[in-house]
Amino acid sequence: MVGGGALVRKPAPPVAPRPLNRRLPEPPSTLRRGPLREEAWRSPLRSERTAAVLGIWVGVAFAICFVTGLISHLIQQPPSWFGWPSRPVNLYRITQGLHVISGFAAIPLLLAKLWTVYPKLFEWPPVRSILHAVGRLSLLILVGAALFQLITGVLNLARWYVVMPFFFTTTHYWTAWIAIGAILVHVGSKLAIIRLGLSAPAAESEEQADVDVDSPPDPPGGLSRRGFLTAVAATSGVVALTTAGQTVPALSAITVFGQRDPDLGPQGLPVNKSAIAAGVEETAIDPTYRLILQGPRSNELSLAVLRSLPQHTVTLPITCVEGWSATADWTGIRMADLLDLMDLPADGEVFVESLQEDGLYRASVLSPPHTRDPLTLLALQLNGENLHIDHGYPARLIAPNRPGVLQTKWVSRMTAL
Amino acid sequence: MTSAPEAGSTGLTLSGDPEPAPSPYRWAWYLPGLVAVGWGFYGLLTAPMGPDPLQWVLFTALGVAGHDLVLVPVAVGVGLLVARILPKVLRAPAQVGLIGTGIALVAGFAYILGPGVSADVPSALPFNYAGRVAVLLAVLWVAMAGWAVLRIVRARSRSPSRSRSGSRRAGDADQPE
Repeated sequence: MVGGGALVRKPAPPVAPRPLNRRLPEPPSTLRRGPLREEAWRSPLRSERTAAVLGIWVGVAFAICFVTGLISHLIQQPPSWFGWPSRPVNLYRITQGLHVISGFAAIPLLLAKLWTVYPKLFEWPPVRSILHAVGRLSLLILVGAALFQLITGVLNLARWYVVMPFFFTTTHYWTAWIAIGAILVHVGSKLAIIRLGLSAPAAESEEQADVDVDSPPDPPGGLSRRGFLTAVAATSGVVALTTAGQTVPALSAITVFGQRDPDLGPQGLPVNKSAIAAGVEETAIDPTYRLILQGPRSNELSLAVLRSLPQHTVTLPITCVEGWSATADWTGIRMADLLDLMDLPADGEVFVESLQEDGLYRASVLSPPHTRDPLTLLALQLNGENLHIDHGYPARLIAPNRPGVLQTKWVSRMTAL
Repeated sequence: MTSAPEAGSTGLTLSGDPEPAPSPYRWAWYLPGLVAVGWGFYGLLTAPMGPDPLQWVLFTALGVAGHDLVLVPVAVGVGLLVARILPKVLRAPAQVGLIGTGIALVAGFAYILGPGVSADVPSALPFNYAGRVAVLLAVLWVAMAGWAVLRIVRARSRSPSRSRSGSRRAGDADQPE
């Protein structure tokens, strides 16, 4: 107001609401009890700023999970337009390690975010309009899909498959699309509030403390909002560090939530599927073993012949889709040499099959650039010894920058495609 | 209750203020988001080896119910106890300790229970997870105890007069006798 005249804001003309946005009758106020009461939720830790900051962190963690999970899916089920390089050799190790680490790190972030907005579950009236009801239902999809991803991820890492009445890989993948899509929709619906929250003053003193339902006016001494956010971030960081040991050997001593010790297993390397579980404990040690090559020129090679071919030693990680990885020295025949024996053209693909008779991962397709990469071997030895039967004796595929489930073990047949 | 045809979209923020008007850019997020959600449901329903839709819905609903009806109420109840019982000087360390403890148990419960351990694959789940979680929690609570002691010492050195004669609330440990 300047110059003595009051600045009068012209009221906005009344706008007739659309039917979907028309206010519905409110339930009787006598029903507004317990957590539905207006003053039921008074923790000063909850604010637009807290929710916005936590939401950004959750969004980043889920985005990392989604992108890295999508990469893993595309490598395993590549569409025609997708190509995956063979270098750098540790790229998949990084992406899949990040997938699991960021997934675990998202647990405290998501739970803190949901705790922060929990009072909205009890907002009054429960439904203001049809649009509002749709919005609340969409939140159910968001929360359900996000929790689903973290719960199934933890269960899968802990190999607790029996409580999941579905095939984890397929369901986790498709639910990831729902979760990331619901996050985008949620961000769109909350853009204005997020902007409001992020523009709010950063924090209050620690003397603005904690309380919750039914508690008296804020007693001092508890966490401030900044302290709460710091605690959540620190917890997330500790969870990440204590998960990363299965990917980063230097951190294996402090592993708490990791599935593997990278140095523990036959020949100092973990195993994901044993010979017994694959049902090959007899066929793998059969002295009549032959590697069958089927292509323009077919052949059958005994183990003795395979050992007589030029041998090469490479240092490569084995990287499981469950995030763990470990480096080892592999010795065997270059795949390029075997493909030359088959007269396979330079851009040819080969179907690699295992002695394992059943199972989703009993075979894999080896495509360029992995086929002719000098680091791709049909390995006969691991760390200077014949392969342990659980590592794929008598022969296994090992290629750079490729998921472990595609590093076919107990190789019995290679067919040109 | 109102029968007037007023807009029903206005809710309240967490702070109790009216929600601001939706952003004009929201559709730039809605469109890819809705496409992704639709693609996800399409995949769930049509993918080979996809889940039984009813079981997927049940599993998801159980997750939401377990979170909304068990996990958060327990967390809220514990937070309420901390606010009411603990002296103020101990509240922040206790809150951080409880946040860390809760998360460690949620993230580690499937490892601790150990149903996935198999004699076939001894290199999988090789650790004593209960022991490792216990060590993690011990480190956390020792750190929080140290922080609490620091807070007590700092509180006493800042306001010695209040410590001797200030008003006292039940359970305020930073008010020496």
